[in-house]
Amino acid sequence: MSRADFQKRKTFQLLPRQNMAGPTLGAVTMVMSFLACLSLGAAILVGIAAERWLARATSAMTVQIIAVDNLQAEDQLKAVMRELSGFPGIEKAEPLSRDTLIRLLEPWLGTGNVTADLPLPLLIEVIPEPNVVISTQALDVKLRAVAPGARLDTHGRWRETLDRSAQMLKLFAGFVLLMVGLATITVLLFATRAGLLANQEILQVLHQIGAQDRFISRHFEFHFTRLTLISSAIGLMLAIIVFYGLGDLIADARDPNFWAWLLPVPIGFVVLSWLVTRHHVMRNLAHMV
Amino acid sequence: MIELENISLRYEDGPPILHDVSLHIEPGSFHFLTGKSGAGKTSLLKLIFLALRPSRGKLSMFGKDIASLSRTELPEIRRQIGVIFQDFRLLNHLSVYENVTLPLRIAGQKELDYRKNAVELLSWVGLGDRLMSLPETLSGGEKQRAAIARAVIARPRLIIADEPTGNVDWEIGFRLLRLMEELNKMGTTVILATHDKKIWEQIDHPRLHIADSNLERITS
Repeated sequence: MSRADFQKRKTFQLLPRQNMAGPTLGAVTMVMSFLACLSLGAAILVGIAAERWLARATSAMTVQIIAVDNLQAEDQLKAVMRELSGFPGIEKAEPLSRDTLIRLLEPWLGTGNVTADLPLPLLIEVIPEPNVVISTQALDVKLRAVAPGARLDTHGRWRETLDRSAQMLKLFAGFVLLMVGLATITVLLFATRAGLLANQEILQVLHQIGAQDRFISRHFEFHFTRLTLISSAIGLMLAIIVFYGLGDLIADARDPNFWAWLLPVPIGFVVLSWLVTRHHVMRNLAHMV
Repeated sequence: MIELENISLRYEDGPPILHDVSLHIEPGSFHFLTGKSGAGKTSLLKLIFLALRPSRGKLSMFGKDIASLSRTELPEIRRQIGVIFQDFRLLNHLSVYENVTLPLRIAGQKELDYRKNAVELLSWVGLGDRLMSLPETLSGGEKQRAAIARAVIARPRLIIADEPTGNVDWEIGFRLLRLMEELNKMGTTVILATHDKKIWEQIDHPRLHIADSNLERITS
C-alpha cells in the first residue's frame, strides 16, 4: 500500500459517526431543542406583551366633568385644565371632542343614535410622564375643589383585571416552559444513554487494550457533545424560522435580541449531554476492573 | 511473571468458579488451558488479563501485586498483555489497519513511527491486501488474523488466546497454533485456552486443566 493510499483515507474516527444511535439521538435532540426554543420564545413574548399592556393601562387616566347645580360642564373645563397643567408629573391633558365621545358610545348605542340633545359629559384624557407615579388621590381632591362636577377615573378595576390576566398568562407560559424543560431533560437523558449503550462494545475494547479512563471518556464526551451541538443548533434555527414567520402578527418575534434569548437552549443541551455522557462512561468504567 | 496465590472466584452468591487456586507462570513459557465448557477457563483468563478481580487470594502480574495498584496504573499492565478473544472483538467502523494499530494509537505513538511495522505485520499474517477493508467484509480466518495482529502489535510480554480455534476451521486453527509457537520462540509468554484435544496434542507444552473449581498442571 502506497503513501498516497494512506493519505486518501478518511480521518480516523474512534467512535463511528454513523451508527444506530447517531441519527436517532440527533433527531430526538433536534426536535426537543425546537420545542424547548418554541416554549421559551412563547413565554418571553407573552411576558413582553403583558408588560406592554400593563404599562399602557396603568398610565392612562381620564377626568370626567358633569353639570352640577348651576354649573355646566363647559364652565368647569377651564379650571380643570389649569389644575391639570399645573399638577406635577402630567405630560399631557387633552379634552376629547364630541365626535370622539360619540364614536366611543357607538358600540353601546348604535351608529347614528346619539342625538344632539343627549347630554354628554366632558372627558379629558390625562397622560402622565413615563415612569412617574402620580398621587391620584391628591389630584382628585384638587379637581373637585376647583370643579364640583369633576371626577378622576384611574380605571382601577379594569387595570386590576388586566394585571391579574397578564400574571396568569405569564404563569401559564412559565408552567408550559417548565413541563417542556422537564420532558426535554428526560428525553435527552434516555437518548444519550441509548446512544452510549450502542457503543458499549467500543468502550469495552478500548478499556481492555489499555486505554486510560480519561482517554475513553474524552472521546465519548467529544462525540456526543458535538452531535448534540449540531442537532440542537438546527432545532434553534427551525424555531427562529417559525418566529420569523410570526413576525407579521408579533413584531418582537423578528427581533434578533429576542432570538438571542433562545441561545441558552442549545447551550443547556450541550452542557447536559456532556454531563450525562461523562457520568455514564465513568460509571461504566468504574464497574470494570 | 504471573503469580496466583490461593485464588478463589465466585460471581456474587453463585457457586465457586475457582477454589484456592495457586499457579506460577514463567516468562517465555507456553501453556494450554483446558477443561470442559463452563469449567472456568474464561474466568481464569479474565483474572489474568485484568477483566475480573478475585474474590480471595493474591494476584501478581509482572512482579506487581494487582490489589496494590491504583486504577490509573492498571492500563499500563494491560498494555503488556495481548488478548485474542473468541469473538475477535474488532471494531466494525474501523479498517483492518486502524483496528490493528489501535493499541499503539492509545499508547500515544505517532502513526508515521509505526506505519511501516504495522504494514509488515499485516503482510506477515496474510492481510497485506486487506489493510483498508472493514471487518464485516473479512472471512472468519481473516478476522482472526486481524485480532491476532492487534494482540501482538504492541509487542506484549504475554499473549492470551481464548478458544481461538472455536470459530474457524481446522486448517486455520492449525496455522494459528504455528503463529503462537513463532511468537513464543521470540520470547512471548503464551496461554491458549481450548477444549479441543486435537489442538494440545499437536505441540508438546504443559497443560493447565480446570475441573471442579480446581487447577491441575499436566506435563506430558
